[in-house]
Amino acid sequence: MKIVESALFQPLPRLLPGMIISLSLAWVLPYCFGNTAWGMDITRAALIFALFTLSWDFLCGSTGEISFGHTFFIGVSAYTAAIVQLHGGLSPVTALLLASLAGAGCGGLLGVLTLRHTAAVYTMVTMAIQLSFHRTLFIAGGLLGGEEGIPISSSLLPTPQQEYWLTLAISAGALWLAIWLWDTPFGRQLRAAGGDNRVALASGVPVARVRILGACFAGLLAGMGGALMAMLHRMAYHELAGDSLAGLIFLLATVGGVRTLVGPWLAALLYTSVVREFLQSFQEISTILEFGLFLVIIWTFPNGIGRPLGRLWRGLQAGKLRHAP
Amino acid sequence: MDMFLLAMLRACDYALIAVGFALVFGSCRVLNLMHGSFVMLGAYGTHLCTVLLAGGHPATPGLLIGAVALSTGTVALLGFGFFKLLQMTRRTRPEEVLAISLTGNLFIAALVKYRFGTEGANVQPILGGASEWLGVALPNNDLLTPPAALLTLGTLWWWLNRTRSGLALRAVADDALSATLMGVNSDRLLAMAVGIAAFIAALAGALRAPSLTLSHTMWIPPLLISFAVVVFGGRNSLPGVVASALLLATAETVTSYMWNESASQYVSLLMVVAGLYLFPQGLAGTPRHENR
Repeated sequence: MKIVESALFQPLPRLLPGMIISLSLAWVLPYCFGNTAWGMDITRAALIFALFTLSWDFLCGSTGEISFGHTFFIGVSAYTAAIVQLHGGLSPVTALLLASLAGAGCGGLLGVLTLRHTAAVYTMVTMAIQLSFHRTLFIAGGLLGGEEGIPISSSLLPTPQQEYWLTLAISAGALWLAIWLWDTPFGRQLRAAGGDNRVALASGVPVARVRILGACFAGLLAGMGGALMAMLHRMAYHELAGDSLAGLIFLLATVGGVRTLVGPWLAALLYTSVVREFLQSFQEISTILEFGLFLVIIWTFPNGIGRPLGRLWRGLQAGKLRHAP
Repeated sequence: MDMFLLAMLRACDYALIAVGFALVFGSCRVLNLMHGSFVMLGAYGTHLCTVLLAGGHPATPGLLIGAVALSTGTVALLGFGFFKLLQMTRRTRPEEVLAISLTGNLFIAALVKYRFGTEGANVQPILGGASEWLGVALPNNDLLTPPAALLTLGTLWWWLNRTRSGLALRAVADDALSATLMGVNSDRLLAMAVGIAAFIAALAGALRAPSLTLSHTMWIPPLLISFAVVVFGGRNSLPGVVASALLLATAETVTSYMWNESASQYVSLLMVVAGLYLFPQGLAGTPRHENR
């Protein structure tokens, strides 16, 4: 029991400041928007985006690959959640669970299909899988709703406040779980498999198994997010499986700092709730400003802004320790 | 016969779009996603230059050729400048180039949307009308693509195999450090390769513009085509690019003929996934340890 506890809390001191800042922000955000249903919805969407980027960073940060296929998990889960409610008559909670499992299954499929791929080929295959699914939504428009999507009639929980708390619990819980997994033997094996396959294999790491399991876990998180997003908008729509969302997830993870977990989560939360809402007040030029800002940040901090901030924090801590009597 | 001719035309279009991407991917080992924007800027540049040069009068073929030359030249300079700036700011690691070029695409698309709006623009064809080939009526302007593709591929092959700078670029692609130690200015060569790729992409964009309605999202399909053709064909091989363009174009044309156009893209994407599962290095690629 003691071993499990120490493993569970091992990364806590290192990531505690980031975790506290992130969770406080997620808690405070609805109050910044006047604690209205609109503010709750914006914060929920931001928390779901945070879940998407966290899922991306867990898979791609550990394996060192760049995936544009995350919206495959998100899209499949969103449509699963909508279809099982509409045609199966299942409750939203059951639909959420089934959709998350569907996301994990898609993760496993992507893991199997990309086992032999690295670098650009990996990126291409993930992109092709995502685009194939996106095209399927239109080709099988009769079943999947095509351009209009599939409506979801019932809400997840009775009030927006309860839904917000559930989303916060899922998103924060996922962040905690990802951080914990990162430093477990499985997490270390996953990172080793991403470093150099040959060295990892020679060291006895079951590369295929950990890569597939890693993709399953990422699919589970992204799938949960996809179902939550579809339930938030009361609609499973094709943009959830689109290339724009895939690109945005990649950019947010890059800005937050790949392989930091907390950084991409925080970047997505801040961007979706505060930055995008602020930039939308510029109307016609909002998109230019949005991507201009992305360009400047990524060009200036190609490793993300999470790491420099972390270094600054550690520097301040070290300075304090040095000057302590 | 009509299916064969349409497949050949599509293959030439794909080869022209993808060959520049292959040049940069093969020599710099980076995915320059700005390639999609270069194609879009070639098309929009031709539209803009035609409007400016014609000044409200009907455009003549000579004026349209001038517009294409002006547009492609400007995009080539833009490509060269973009990569030079990346080199000057030391942002040439593959993941850095990928992130910056993807953001650059989105930024340029936003600028194009702001300047030209969401209603599509049109470009007048250089050659009007249609002519019959082996019993199939084809637009004359579309017939410019095969000679342009052949000329481009031939010139590129000659440059890479018969000239000093082309051989130096191949040396850089093979081992940049050794090439630099032998006195090759690798930075300048790589920026030049990106400039040439941008020129070819813009030419492809300008040639296909009359058969399209221009929009700010038109950078995505050429990028996907280039990506699929080059990765599927094997990044180190010009013949691989040609073979891959032929295969994908044939598959798409046959599907489009038998089923519909949107299903054709679906089939080619599935073909890429299945093909790369069987041949991870692409059709004609050689195994090489990836530098992370």
